[in-house]
Amino acid sequence: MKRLLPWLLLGVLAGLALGLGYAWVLHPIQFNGVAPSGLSQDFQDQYLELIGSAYYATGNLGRARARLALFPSAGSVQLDDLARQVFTTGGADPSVRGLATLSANLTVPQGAQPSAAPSAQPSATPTLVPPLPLTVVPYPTFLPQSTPSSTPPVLFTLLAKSPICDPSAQTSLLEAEIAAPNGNPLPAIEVRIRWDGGQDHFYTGLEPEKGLGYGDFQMTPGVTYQIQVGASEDWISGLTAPSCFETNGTAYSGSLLLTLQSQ
Amino acid sequence: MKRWLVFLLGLALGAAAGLVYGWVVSPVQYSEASPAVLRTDFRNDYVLMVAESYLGNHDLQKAASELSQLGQPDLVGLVRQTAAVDQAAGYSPQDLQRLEGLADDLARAPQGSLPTP
Repeated sequence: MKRLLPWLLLGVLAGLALGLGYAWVLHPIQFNGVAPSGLSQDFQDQYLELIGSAYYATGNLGRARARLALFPSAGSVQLDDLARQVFTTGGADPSVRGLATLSANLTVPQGAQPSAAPSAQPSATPTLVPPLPLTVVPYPTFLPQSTPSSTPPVLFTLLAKSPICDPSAQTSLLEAEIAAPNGNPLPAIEVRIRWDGGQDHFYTGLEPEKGLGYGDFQMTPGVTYQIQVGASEDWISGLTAPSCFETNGTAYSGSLLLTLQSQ
Repeated sequence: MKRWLVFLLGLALGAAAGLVYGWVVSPVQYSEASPAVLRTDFRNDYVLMVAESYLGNHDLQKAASELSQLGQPDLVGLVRQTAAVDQAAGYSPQDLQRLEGLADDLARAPQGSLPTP
């Protein structure tokens, strides 16, 4: 028996080598693709940048949190570092702002509103500035004024008028996204609204998580509005809440997104 | 003869142990991968993120560059396919509009003007 033990051990070792070689090299466990955390560091950074950029565009904090949860090590510090890195390498501005805003809003408890609720009439002291540890791209600290202190673009062109149908939305909004010719969003632009029997106004940039060039106003379904942007004298007319339909055919009023560009 | 039988017995035991270890205890882990090998659900979300991001920056070149990381040459097809999958999964009309908007803009871009894998 003692003489056979070395043969047994030799067989076990050879079998182990063969088994591992087969399991790891020849026929590894079925490959269904990798999770984002399995990407190389460069691609992980790109993925995080994309999360920030998507968050900047949509303001959907819950979705951004869910995506960040795929990276166990990703916290606000890493996002800040990445935002600085993107900024210093000349990366896209929305990515930098998105990462910075996301980083700042990660401290907001889940379910809470990360910023002030939409309001057609800005308060005297708007709460538009979330805590922002990143200093390279500060948020504007303007107070809405009738005549913004910065040099405003004079004329604006309506590029698109898009209905937005979201059955979960509680209200119909007249949303405006205003940008410079180079695509940079323009905050602090006054949008005046009038309708049969009333008038109001709002400013872009009061909800930075939705974009610095974004502003909105709550519409009443069935009412037709006109708007005047910045120092433009022309009115854009015929703006009403679009009719939308749920999958079961129920009608409801959607929102209207206006994309404007300065000339 | 007896030695060979013992050796083969050891070989079988060792191979079984190796397979259990290699498939169950410590299966192959993938790291340093590129987005081209992302799992399907993450891949779909990646495409949606590109569409959401495009909504904010209107940079079609950047969107195409990000999509091309997935290694599929037909970017329009990739986005439309994702929209179909997301629609079946019950994503909001807003998400689907973003995907369709990106696909339309990609389709309208002059041939050869956008990055490909």
